[in-house]
Amino acid sequence: MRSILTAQQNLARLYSRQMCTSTYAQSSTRISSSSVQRGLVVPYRFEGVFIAKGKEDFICTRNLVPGEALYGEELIFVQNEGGTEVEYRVWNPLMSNLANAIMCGVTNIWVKPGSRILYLGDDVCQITLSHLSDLVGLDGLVYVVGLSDVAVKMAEKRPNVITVFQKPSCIGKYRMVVGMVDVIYADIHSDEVHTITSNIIYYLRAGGHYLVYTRASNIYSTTRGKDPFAYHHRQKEFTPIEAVMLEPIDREYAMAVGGFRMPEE
Amino acid sequence: MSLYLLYESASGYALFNCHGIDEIGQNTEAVRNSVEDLTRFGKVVQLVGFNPFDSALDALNQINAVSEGQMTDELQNFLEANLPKVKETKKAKFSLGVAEPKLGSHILEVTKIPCQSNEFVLELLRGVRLHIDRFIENLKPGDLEKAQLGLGHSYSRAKVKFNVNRVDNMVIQAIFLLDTLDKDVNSFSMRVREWYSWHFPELVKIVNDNYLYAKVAKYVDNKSELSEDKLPGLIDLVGDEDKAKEIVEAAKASMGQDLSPVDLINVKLFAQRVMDLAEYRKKLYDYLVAKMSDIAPNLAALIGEVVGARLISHAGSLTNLAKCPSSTLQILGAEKALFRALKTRGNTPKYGLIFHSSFIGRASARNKGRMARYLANKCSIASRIDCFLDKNTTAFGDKLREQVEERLDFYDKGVAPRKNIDVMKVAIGNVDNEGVEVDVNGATAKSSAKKSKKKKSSEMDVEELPVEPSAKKSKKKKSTEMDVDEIPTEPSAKKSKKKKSAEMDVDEAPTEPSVKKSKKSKSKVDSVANGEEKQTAVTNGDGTGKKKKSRKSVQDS
Repeated sequence: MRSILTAQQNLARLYSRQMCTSTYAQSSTRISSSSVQRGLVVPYRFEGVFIAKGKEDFICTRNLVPGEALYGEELIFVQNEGGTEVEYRVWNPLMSNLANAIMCGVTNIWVKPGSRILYLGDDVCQITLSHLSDLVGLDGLVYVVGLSDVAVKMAEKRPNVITVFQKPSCIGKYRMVVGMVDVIYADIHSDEVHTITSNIIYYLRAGGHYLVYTRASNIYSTTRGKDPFAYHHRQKEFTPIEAVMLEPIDREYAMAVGGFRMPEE
Repeated sequence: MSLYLLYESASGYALFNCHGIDEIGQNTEAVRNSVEDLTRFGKVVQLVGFNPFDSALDALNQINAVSEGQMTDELQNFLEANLPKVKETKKAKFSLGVAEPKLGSHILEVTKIPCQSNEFVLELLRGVRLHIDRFIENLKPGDLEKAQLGLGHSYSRAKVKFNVNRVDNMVIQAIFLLDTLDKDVNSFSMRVREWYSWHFPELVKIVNDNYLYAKVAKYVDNKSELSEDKLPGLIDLVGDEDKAKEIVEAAKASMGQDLSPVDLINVKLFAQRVMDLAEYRKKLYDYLVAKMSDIAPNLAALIGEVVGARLISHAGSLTNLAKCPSSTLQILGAEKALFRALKTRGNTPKYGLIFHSSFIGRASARNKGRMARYLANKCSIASRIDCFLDKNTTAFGDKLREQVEERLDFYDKGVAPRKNIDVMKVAIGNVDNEGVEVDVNGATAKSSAKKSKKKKSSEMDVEELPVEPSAKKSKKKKSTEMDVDEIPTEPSAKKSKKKKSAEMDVDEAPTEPSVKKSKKSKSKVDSVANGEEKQTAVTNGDGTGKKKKSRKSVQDS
């Protein structure tokens, strides 16, 4: 019975996602600089993330592929001192978990321009992926591991995205493609507990960080549950830093941030 | 006992020798500390050999083998070349550290090299992975990333079964270009008409067609030179003798002013441009038809190339269209009306882009909505076949088209249409005759699953039911692999069996997700309305009760 319910929920989610993408298809609106308070875009406290101030504030990232809006998000054009135009893409927290975490006040996402990220996803979020790729810029790399054909298509446009069409739990299978990374961002149903931890052990450099999007009950409950880090025998290697509840938008979910083999201070 | 390390990278295989272990011991903590610093690590681990891959294809083969845990010949040669020889009877005095135990056991079987993969090896491999580009001298800083990029891409594409000929992006671009071209050709033609009318105003009223006008304008050139001897040529162009005579008469009595030769030349050039564009549009249309028959033959056979291409471009891609439920397909293109109606709790639209197919036009006003729904259902089936079936065949599209025609007849005259299962049996027979092999093996399990899906809306065939709702569900769930090699039937068969046990009604079970969905959407809608922004509507007062009854009749037939 439960499988029918989950199947129905998945169908409904797919349907609503379908409707969203089809309504926003192919048209990108240009916010004129006047509506964004004379084009005021200031850097946010994370490198690579900016805030566009106006009637409403938006977080945005600098667009790696200028002129292209993926899912109908707004593009903001700002005049630079040199007279050139810089283009920013608005990051929608309703559709992207990472933006949601930023809006909910995570202290540090550890993703900087030039860093390398491993994105593990059961269902790769195209939006988060595109913004991560914008964030790290051309110097950095985003490795995406997941069964998603849209990610493969997106990688054709963005040169810093490396896609691996494989399950994130089969770690050995993609060890030839992925190098050492600075940050691991995981969006996995934590049914297979060892997935995230073994990926970390293989690919995350010492002193690196991980961001895990998971159900809040996994972090705070005392039952021996799906928390991937609670009962790992190498527990002392994983230092949890914080857990941000993604409250108004995504109830019951949280973003857990932690460090791996942090140097003793 | 010396320990060697095998590290597979995107550029090639690398073999390392660890000789500092005696000092460190097998303690992982100590290894960890030494890993960080390259100089210390360099003392522990040294490169013995590096075998770069010959080509991208070779690299792809290697990664496929490695991911399965198999050893390829190249790897075997590389290992045997660089490791000390293992004598037959004696035990080897070294061991090889690998990342995966499966690969290790395979290496052991074939080459008798003992392998180990434990935490210690893992730690050492981490260090290697961190510093790999420093170890190998030939690699410049960006090379490894590029190799990874290329390898990742080709691996993913191979998994997704990327086929260049079946890229639906071409169709989407072509249909956009077609629309743009139409607009442009139209505006240019208007411009030609205006421009030339300065010289010869009467021509506009005589020749209505844009393309023809441009031709005639180019041919007539200066109207004062138009005489009887140009008449035959004019007749060829226009096709109508009377019209040609009219043109000649009008030219003699024309009120328009004379143009200088330079101006005339410019007008002629422009008219030539318009003609070229119009011809190009025809060629583009042919290209679109050809492409549609490549990537979505069934959809094209059912509703026509242009409407099919528009649907695909609106949905974003063929896979997106296939993932849509048929109710979405029905109103694809009428989103503005849909959301407006949902917000104001009015009547939702009955059809979107589907309206432009010929069937809806042929149905009577009362039945337009029903035909739209039926057509959308069949289009959904056709798009799914196109997306997931490997073979290129229009058999299903033709049969579906026949079904739609029969349903039209049914509404008009009351002629009972054939049962769905019979029609689909014929279709599958046709496809078999064309040489498609429907074998039980995984390769075409998906295609057979999709074929049996047509049988689903009738009652029979209990064995195939577990296959197709699983196929449909797995497609909709998006969580199973696109890899057709692994048959996703077993876990999903369990799910469908659970589903079957939950509802006793066997024939309702496979249509359950779609029926439930339409019931959900119907509960939002109070009654049916006209959609399509272009139409100003007369609301059709069909009650939902009637709709449900007609739905049941669709199910049964």
